[in-house]
Amino acid sequence: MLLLATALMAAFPLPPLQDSRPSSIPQSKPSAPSRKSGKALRAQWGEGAPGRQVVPVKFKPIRKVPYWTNAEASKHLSPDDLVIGIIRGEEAIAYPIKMLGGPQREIINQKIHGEPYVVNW
Amino acid sequence: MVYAGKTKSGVAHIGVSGRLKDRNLVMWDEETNSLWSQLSGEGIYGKRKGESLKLSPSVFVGFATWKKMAPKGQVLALTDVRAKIWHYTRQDLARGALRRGHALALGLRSQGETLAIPLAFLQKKRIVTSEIGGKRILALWLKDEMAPLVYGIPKGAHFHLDKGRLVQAKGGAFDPLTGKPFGKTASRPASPLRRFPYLPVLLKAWKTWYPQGRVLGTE
Repeated sequence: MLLLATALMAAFPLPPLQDSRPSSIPQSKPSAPSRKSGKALRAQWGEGAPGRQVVPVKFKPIRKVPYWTNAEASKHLSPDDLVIGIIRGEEAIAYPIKMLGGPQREIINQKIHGEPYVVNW
Repeated sequence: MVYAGKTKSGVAHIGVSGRLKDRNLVMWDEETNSLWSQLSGEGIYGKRKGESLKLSPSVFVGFATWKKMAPKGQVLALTDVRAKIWHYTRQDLARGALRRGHALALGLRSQGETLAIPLAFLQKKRIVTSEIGGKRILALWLKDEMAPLVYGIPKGAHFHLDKGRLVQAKGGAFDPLTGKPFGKTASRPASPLRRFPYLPVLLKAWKTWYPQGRVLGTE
């Protein structure tokens, strides 16, 4: 199991978060490009668990991620890049599809307008 | 897709389980280690089996469109994007298909009912109304934005697109991007249209998941 997990992490070498933010929408922005991946944990479910374990680990829910303003994001995104957008009151966050790739970061937990949301791709 | 991050038993912080079921991602929650179907949002194993994560309204649009919808919005800031496989663009939506010609559709669920609106059908009609789970919906294809949007609308209401405005037959017009009204009607203050949750899906896969579900354009 550990060997497989090590091999998996070698295959998807995402460095740890460099600039994490509080779980509420941050007002400040990262000054440099940031990286994030869910921490790999031992996956433990009983034999009756549905489906099959295709990756030997589970990934800790991601709660803290950095955000750009739209203007800052324009330096990193094409106008055509697809995003999943959530708009609640005056708060609005977009999640570019291309940043949600790979098993370590397909799901992001975020509070918006005081309510918890799960963004996944 | 976007789920509300709480169920009847409380908040659920969700992560990737490393499991697949029927070729679909299985999620887990940190609070109880229960397993969840990503597709249906249903708890399928553990203490929270039988509970549901509720689909929450969101939009699936190009970044340029997003900036028009939410000028003061924020954007996830992760830059170690490696796999080109994830680089979807709104041109994929305009083609109505992803790689290998797999047709795309908007998938809707409500009150145990499902409805698929193929993008090719929506692009041809530009504006479609239907019902799901006792609720009336309006789906739009905004050609210039290459964007599909879905709103919940009152029963009996009729709309059409006119010069970039979503016009209600009995008076009043709305911005199709935001659902906000242009001005107010004389009889009552106009309120914005409410977004209705939808998922961008591969039509073939959706039909496999929901073989009894309705598919617009084939009825």
